Amino acid sequence: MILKKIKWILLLVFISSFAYAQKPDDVADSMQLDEITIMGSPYKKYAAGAKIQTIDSITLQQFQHGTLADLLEQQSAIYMKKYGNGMLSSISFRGTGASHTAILWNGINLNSLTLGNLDFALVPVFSQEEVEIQYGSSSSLYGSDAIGGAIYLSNSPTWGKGLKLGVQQDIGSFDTYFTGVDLNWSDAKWSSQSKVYHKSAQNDFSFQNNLVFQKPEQRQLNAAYQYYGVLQNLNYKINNQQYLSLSGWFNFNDRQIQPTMPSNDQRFQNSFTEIQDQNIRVVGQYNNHSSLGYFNVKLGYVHDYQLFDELSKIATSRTFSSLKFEKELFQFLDVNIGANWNHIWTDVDSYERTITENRNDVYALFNFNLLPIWRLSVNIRQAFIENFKAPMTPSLGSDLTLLQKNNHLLNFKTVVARGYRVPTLNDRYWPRSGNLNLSPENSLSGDVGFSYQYNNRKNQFSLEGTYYQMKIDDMITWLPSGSIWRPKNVQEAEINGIEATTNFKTNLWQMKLKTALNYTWTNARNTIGVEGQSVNNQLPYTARHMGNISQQFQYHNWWLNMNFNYTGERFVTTDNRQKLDDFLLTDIQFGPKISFNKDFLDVRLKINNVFDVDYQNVQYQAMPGINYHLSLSFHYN
Amino acid sequence: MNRIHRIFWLFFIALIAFSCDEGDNEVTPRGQFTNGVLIVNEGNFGSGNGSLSFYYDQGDSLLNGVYEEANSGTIIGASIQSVFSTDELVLIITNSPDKVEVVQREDFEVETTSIAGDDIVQPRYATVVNNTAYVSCWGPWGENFTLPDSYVAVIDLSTFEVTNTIDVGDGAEGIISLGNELFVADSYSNTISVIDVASETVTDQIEVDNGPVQMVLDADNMLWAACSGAFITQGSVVKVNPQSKTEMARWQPEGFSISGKLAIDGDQNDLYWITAAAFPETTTEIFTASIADTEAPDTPMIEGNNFYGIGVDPDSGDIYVGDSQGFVGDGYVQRYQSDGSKLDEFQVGIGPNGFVFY
Repeated sequence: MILKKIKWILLLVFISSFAYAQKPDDVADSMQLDEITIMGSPYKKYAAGAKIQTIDSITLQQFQHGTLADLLEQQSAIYMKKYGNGMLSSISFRGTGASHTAILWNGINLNSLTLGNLDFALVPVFSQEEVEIQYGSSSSLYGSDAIGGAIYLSNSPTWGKGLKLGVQQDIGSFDTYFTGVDLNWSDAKWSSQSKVYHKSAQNDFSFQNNLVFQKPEQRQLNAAYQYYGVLQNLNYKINNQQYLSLSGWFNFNDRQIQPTMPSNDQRFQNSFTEIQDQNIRVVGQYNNHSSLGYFNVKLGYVHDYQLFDELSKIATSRTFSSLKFEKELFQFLDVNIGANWNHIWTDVDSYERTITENRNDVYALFNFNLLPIWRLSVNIRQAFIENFKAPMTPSLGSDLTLLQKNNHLLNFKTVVARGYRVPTLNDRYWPRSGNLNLSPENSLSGDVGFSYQYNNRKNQFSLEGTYYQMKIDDMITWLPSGSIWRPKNVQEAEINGIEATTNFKTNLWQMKLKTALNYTWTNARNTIGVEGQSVNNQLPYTARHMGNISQQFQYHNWWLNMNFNYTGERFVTTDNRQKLDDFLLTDIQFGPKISFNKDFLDVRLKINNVFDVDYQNVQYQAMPGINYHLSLSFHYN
Repeated sequence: MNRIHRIFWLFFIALIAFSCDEGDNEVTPRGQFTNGVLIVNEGNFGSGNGSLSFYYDQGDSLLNGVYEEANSGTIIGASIQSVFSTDELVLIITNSPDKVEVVQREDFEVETTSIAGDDIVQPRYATVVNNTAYVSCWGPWGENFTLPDSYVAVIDLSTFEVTNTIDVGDGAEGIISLGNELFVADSYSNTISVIDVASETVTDQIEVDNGPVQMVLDADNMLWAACSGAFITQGSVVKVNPQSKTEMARWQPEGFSISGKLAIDGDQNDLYWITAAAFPETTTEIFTASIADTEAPDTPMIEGNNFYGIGVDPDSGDIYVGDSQGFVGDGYVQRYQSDGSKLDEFQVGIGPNGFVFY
């Protein structure tokens, strides 16, 4: 049944992409806007050979009312493990675990210090401007946690654009409401960007509960959530060489925890739980770009607070400072050296004491443009963590242009890198169970791939294919010893896979067409498991096959987007004796963009899960069937 | 009757005819659970993946997912703490969510909607006396992870309603009936509470070692309890006289921590219990002793890792050990002869923690 649907979709896609394409926005997005502002990750230059995906602003616009979990799920072939609708969403990059991805905002790693991972449903897309994804181990660039990949969130100031205002109001199924205000003001000296957002949802969707006695039709209980936040970026251009910036982001999230299908019953309401999160992140920067080089100083403060069921508090704070210096030497070498300092302190009820810790990094990155066709990156980073020995993490990458003529561009890319992850504060300091002798988890990964682009005035086509191989050692698992559970460095995993991405942009009969296709094949196995059991089986919640197709049509001022997202079969446990079925989800978005001189109103109607598919992402967690969402977004320029 | 209807009826009759094939001597047909062992697989806490397996003595065959099989794919959907069986019903005591599932003993089909609500808070073990079930419940958590409000829920098995709750000591666990009394292990304390069945009140609290969990009765109707020590003491196996309500003996094997799991053989003469070595070791052991022994054994009979459940076949004397394999996947049941020599092992559900012999 699913295969049939795929054939139909592929046919549709191929018909629509039969013509030529036109020059995309992506190329413009990645160029520097101004001589002193850099878009995206400042480390991209040093990531020769790695697969990097940038989410363009038009795509971000489609997900404004959602979270980073929704965006990544549909626009990349990364698996988001969702514990229910709008609930905890943890990332699985190339078959790795939730704590194996570094996610950075203005250089600060957002992963929780106690748990080691980030709930991607806590990052509203509305709060972000630029999202860049780097696949594979990259601790040389991003530090701890960058084993499966890294995600870089950033924003760049614009100057001299005057006042721009965006107001968005959404309404959707299950009592879902979203309001967002985005106010930008800039002149030659000052640039300010303010965002305020609020989302709430009752989330009481109906579903057939096939797991309980009599298989009744039920409404989902205890799954309501709301989040709101404020983000402020302020930039001051001292002169053409220097500017100061200050970014502050406050996010509040209150979420009931969706019970599993067998627990979805009013009689169990005493066990229903709720969780509140508050995050404060502040970063101040000084940038100096002159003939001497590029110099950046950062000072930051992060406070993460979580209250579980109004009972147990988990809070960590850290102050962060970094120095960075970048220079171009001899016209072919870029050098970037720097250091970070982090001071961390905890306020966790369960620890029964305050833990403080210092974590520092030094790094040196080198980018060689040896020949016009050959780019080589050699990077190294060393972390220094109190009471802990972190490994040195080098990386070596190469990007070689094989063919560049007549609008064709073919590159051959390879990269080898080490990654590591510091054990979490819970792993090391949990009372009675914490193990201070834990080693870091570490990885070695290699990619080999090619990227092909065809660009002429009217069309664009690109195809990128990567084969990767990765080995992760000393993975930490909590194991019972009598009645107490303790973390140990036990497991080893080997992962290899193929990623393919293709993009078309075409014009057909006055319509602009844009197609994006992602496919991954992942083979992830435990080579050393627990007690010698279940080795060489596919890791839990790692689909062998995953893919998505995003098809966009634009006719005059009307838009139509279709997204098809396929998640393959996943096993629930390491012995592969229980599995979750594969599923294909289809979403459609359409509507007009109504212009009034420079201002415009974007109207979008979204239909999610068009074919009312009954599926489970995480075992026993119900997900909604077909549902609707209307978005009205007004922009004043 | 038109042709289609006729074909349908023919087909229907044929289906009925061919589905009733009860052979006398062949492999036990699905839906009947006798001459075997019910294995309780706890599942991962909070993941709703507890399950039941049935191992048939004859033909050496195993059925995993007994409940799903009997109830067209619906699941227990919780972690199973324990199971108590009468001639007609099987009570499945679960946590997360907290409920008592009631299924028919004969074919494990659900008898009634599960018993749950404000009176069933963290249920642990059950026993049945005169068509009334008594379920030990931890009650809600107090400050600093204490259990000050533990109780026994009284359930009328003709209406399946909770008729009373009886407050007992902290952390009520194992519950056993003898004569007109119930004995409840107070695992967050150092007592065994005694309940008079007729008046449904606590009449006594017998002081023993810290952390009593599971209990058994021996051939002389003496009560034995495995005490874990509750992080205060080392733990021990204690013998209690249920008539005089006093502790008679205490066995403390040197260097081994009692886990709280306890079993007795069919003659009620030989005890078996699980111990877990101190961290960073992950080894576990099975100790055995006769009720006539005067002191604790100092060496284990069986050693291994992750032992989580213990049971003894009352007919053959074979020892069944649940191996949780660290709860990362389906566990195993290891079978040993009564002398400790290993017979075989087979894979069941997650975290096998108990056995019921039919």
